[in-house]
Amino acid sequence: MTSPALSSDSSAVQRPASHAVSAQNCDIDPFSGFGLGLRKPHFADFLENDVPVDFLEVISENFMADGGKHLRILTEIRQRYPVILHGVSMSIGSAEGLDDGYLERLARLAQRIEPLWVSDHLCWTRTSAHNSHDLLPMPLTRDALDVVCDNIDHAQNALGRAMLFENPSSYMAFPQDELTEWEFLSEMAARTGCGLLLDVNNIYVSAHNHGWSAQDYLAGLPLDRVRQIHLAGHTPPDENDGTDGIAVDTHDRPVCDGVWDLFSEAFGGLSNSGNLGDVAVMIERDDAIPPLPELLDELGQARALGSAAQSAAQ
Amino acid sequence: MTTLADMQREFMAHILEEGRDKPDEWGEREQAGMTIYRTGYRARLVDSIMESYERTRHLAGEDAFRQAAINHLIARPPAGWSIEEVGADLDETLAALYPDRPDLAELAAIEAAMQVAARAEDASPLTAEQFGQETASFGEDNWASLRLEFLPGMTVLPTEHLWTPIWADLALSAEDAAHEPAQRLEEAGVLLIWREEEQPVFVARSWLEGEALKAMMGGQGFGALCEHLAVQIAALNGAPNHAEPDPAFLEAAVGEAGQMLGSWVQLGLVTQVSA
Repeated sequence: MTSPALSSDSSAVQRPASHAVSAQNCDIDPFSGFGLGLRKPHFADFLENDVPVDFLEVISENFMADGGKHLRILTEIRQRYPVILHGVSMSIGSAEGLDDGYLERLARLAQRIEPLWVSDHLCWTRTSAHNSHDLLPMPLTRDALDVVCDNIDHAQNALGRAMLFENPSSYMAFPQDELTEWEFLSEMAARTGCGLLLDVNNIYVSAHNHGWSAQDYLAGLPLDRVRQIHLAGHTPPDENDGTDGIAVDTHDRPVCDGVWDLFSEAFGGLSNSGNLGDVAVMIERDDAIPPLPELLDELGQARALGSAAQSAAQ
Repeated sequence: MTTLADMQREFMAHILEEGRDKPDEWGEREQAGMTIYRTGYRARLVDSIMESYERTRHLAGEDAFRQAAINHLIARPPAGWSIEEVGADLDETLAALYPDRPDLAELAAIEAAMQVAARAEDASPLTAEQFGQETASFGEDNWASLRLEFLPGMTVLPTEHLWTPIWADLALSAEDAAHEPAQRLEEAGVLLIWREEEQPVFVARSWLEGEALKAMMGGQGFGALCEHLAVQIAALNGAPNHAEPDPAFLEAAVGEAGQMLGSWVQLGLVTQVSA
């Protein structure tokens, strides 16, 4: 595994203001390793100790401030670990376009932090009038695909870099859908040159909620475009009273056995694909956050399963 | 043909408005999914407000504050990308909902200002020594035209309550501390709110000083400030209102303004001086 060095003076780094991203290839270099989502209760752990992770992922919006404590902490952590900027508010599926003020702030953060890459979700969060602060489901139509591809082009040019987009968990589908989610993601990646962030838990949850086959989903994706895998826990349908048997992506508990099994399948598939399993794998926990050792144990399980899947694939 | 924009506006309307008539093409399954999105929206954003306004929540009590947060979301659904802004103008919601408790609205405004200060651009204030060096060669004209730059994110808020003695206790929940309504001040004043190193802080000051500071933050020169203060001091002393203040009041104003200026420098609020 290689860890890109952060220059001591970020202001010295010059990037082109605009950079045309290839629509044919994903020009994000693969990074192989196992990491965690960095959350506030663990700031001190990572600042004061040498934690055995290969990278950290942060929620971009939490650090898109002009200054202050959190930005200083992230800058210090970046001196010690490779960092991924993962956003929740770009709203790449908005029919009304992207917020250029948001993109400007994100670009400023990316210039300061020099992340491995910048990612967000295949979803929409807002109209011009309101922001839900949630990852709302995309209608899987040709019209929506055009909008998403235009918006990705806009975002990638504004940031001067290719991005990754994550498959979401969703709780409803639209009667107007014309494509499967994996067809939508595949065409989106081919047209825009973006990479994919494969959230295995989201595949598991959405497959349950919509009656899809998770195996069909994996088989339908261009796995050579996958640069990162998310693993997380969810609330199973039997704990969601009154919600018609719907599983919910809550990130509030350990990864379940079904998701571990699907991860092994996905990792094996990746190992046989163009990127040979060179992906960044991480555990996400956003609620009921346990002490760091518990997450590191869970990450150890991911390492072991990844290693076994890679061996089996060879 | 229904466009993506139409679908998204309709979807958002269903999130914001429970009981809205469902589209014809939605069956029970779609409605169940919408329930999850709507419930998640409210729970997440109410939690965000509850977390961001901890002291106001403790002072109001959990139930009363939760009701205010729900009302706020209904009256002012968020538009911006930052979840920090979901509680913007919560003080106005609290003022309308609890008119007999003006301390709640005031405290929400204080917490909002402290959040702004916490995220503001980093800047180094001038030390007293640096300020002295910068102004050592100033003549009378330089002092008259002196202008100041202040810390980014600094705010001057009106206040009618005494906050300093109860501030630490307000960090404790109602289970750990009994919170009485904040004590009213005999005279309204202001709070200066800024970030000291990485910690948002405030200090109480007189209304007169607050007006002076706001004028300087707005770009007024020190000379004009002194003249303005002289008029204020003359009025406080019952003197007739003249366009040209009495020299005695002007002298008092220069002294007053000088003390204020020294205090702002000592507090670490001033980042730049020019003349």
